[in-house]
Amino acid sequence: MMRAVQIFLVAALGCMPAITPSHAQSLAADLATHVIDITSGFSGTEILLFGSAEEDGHVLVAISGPKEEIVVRKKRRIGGIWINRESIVFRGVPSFYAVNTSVPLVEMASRETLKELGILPANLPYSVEGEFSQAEQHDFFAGLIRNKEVALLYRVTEGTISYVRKGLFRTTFRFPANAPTGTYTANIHFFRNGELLETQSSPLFINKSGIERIVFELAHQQPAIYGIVAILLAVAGGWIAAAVFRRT
Amino acid sequence: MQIYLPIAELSLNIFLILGMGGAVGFLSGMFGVGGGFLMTPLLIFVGIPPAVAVATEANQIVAASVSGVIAHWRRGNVDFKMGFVLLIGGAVGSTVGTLIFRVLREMGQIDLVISITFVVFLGIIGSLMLVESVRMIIRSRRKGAPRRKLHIHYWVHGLPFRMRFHKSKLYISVLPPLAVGFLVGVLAAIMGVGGGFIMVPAMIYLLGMPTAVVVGTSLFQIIFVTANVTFLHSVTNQTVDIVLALLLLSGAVIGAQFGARVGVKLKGEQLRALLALTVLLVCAKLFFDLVAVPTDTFSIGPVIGR
Repeated sequence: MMRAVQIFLVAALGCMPAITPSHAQSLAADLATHVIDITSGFSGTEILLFGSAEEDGHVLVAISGPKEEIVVRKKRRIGGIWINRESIVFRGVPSFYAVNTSVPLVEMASRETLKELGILPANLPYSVEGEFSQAEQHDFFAGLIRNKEVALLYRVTEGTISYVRKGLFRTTFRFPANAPTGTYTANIHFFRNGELLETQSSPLFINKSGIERIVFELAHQQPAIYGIVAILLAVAGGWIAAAVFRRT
Repeated sequence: MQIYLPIAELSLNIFLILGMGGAVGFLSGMFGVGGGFLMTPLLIFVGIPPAVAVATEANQIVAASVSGVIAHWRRGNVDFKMGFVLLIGGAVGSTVGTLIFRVLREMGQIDLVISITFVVFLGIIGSLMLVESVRMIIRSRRKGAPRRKLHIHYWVHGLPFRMRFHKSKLYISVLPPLAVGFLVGVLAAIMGVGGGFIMVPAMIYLLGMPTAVVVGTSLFQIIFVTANVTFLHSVTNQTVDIVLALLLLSGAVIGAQFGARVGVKLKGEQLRALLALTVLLVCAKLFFDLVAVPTDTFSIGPVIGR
């Protein structure tokens, strides 16, 4: 098998300017579904990812959500009360970020390698607004990660990719009810001897649908109409209640 | 059964929401209070973002006030002229309040300001109610309660721009009612309350209105003020959650009917003392959250204002 891959690679080298990972064969994986619909009953969901990989390596899957601008604030105690003081605005931060691995991270790759590749929350690339020292940025970004973890939007779980049988793996990702809508990307990485050999990507879309979508879109695109609808509904509700209970 | 709230962007148990609406509705039916001052903190306690809690509760109070004012209107207990003057002040106040809300939200201080205003007002109201009800309990055990003076004339009544209010039997300056309306409007926008707890005492003690028309007139102007708050929050902050408001008001209108029936049968003072204690408990919890060491001194939020 390995020899076959090598032969293929050599052949590919001969006719192509560069090898793109998709032409290698040590990895093939995909999500079981590519769309999550948020409806009124949505309370979070799980998504299955499965695939095949060479046995002499390790698999790491990172799913990242749509990038967002996010402000991190630090509270200080003033007059006995905890008040938000300093803040840093981070740009280009994934709103959701989850990593599953087949083995503990130490066996996967060195810290430096993971850092170079931008894998793991602490290694995510970002930009900040304004002038802040490295230490400050690091502190605030660590605070961002902790808050995201509490909200179940960031999580790293080692050893959660299991092998169904030789070469066939599966893993599940949990998406909480507060998972942001938008386009997600699942990056499936294949490591051997601490080196990244291959990466495959697979998209995932989280959308609001049904009544939830109608309400959300009206609120953001036609806020004046939305406000009037909200008032009319409340007036009607109050009036109906008064009418119904007057008779009984 | 979980239900996803599209604007709050989280899912809650539907029976929890209906139950909260019902419980607060029950109290408001029993005591004739609006309930916003309890509902907004409760919504914050269950994890609704404070900005959404305030705007959504204002929307729900529109329904509660419409339902309440109808009964008073039938009995002729609404002073529309006074209500109109109050709501002019209220419209300006709630507009200013929404702008303040927006600025505070951009500064990341809105949660703090909501909590502090609630601690202050719940503390004052809870204490006053408790003292009043304890005094009434003691007085009811004695005989021959002293009579209260019927009408007191303050200097504020003599200010310029006097107007005659037939229903309230008053000939006073329009400035005090405009000011009261303005203040309550600001609070309605920042706290998501109807403001009856300030409006009613202000009407009785400051404006000198007859008690009979006070509640109806207060409810009448609250409809328009909270409608204005609902509209402006929808436009400037997109924080009104219709789904949450509808669930709360379904629970609240049913609760209010039961509360009203129970309230007629039971002796009021002990219950009033109980409500006062509930208010103080909510106040204490909010206060504790302000002074307790947070689990994380860092917090995250969306960037607002761009």
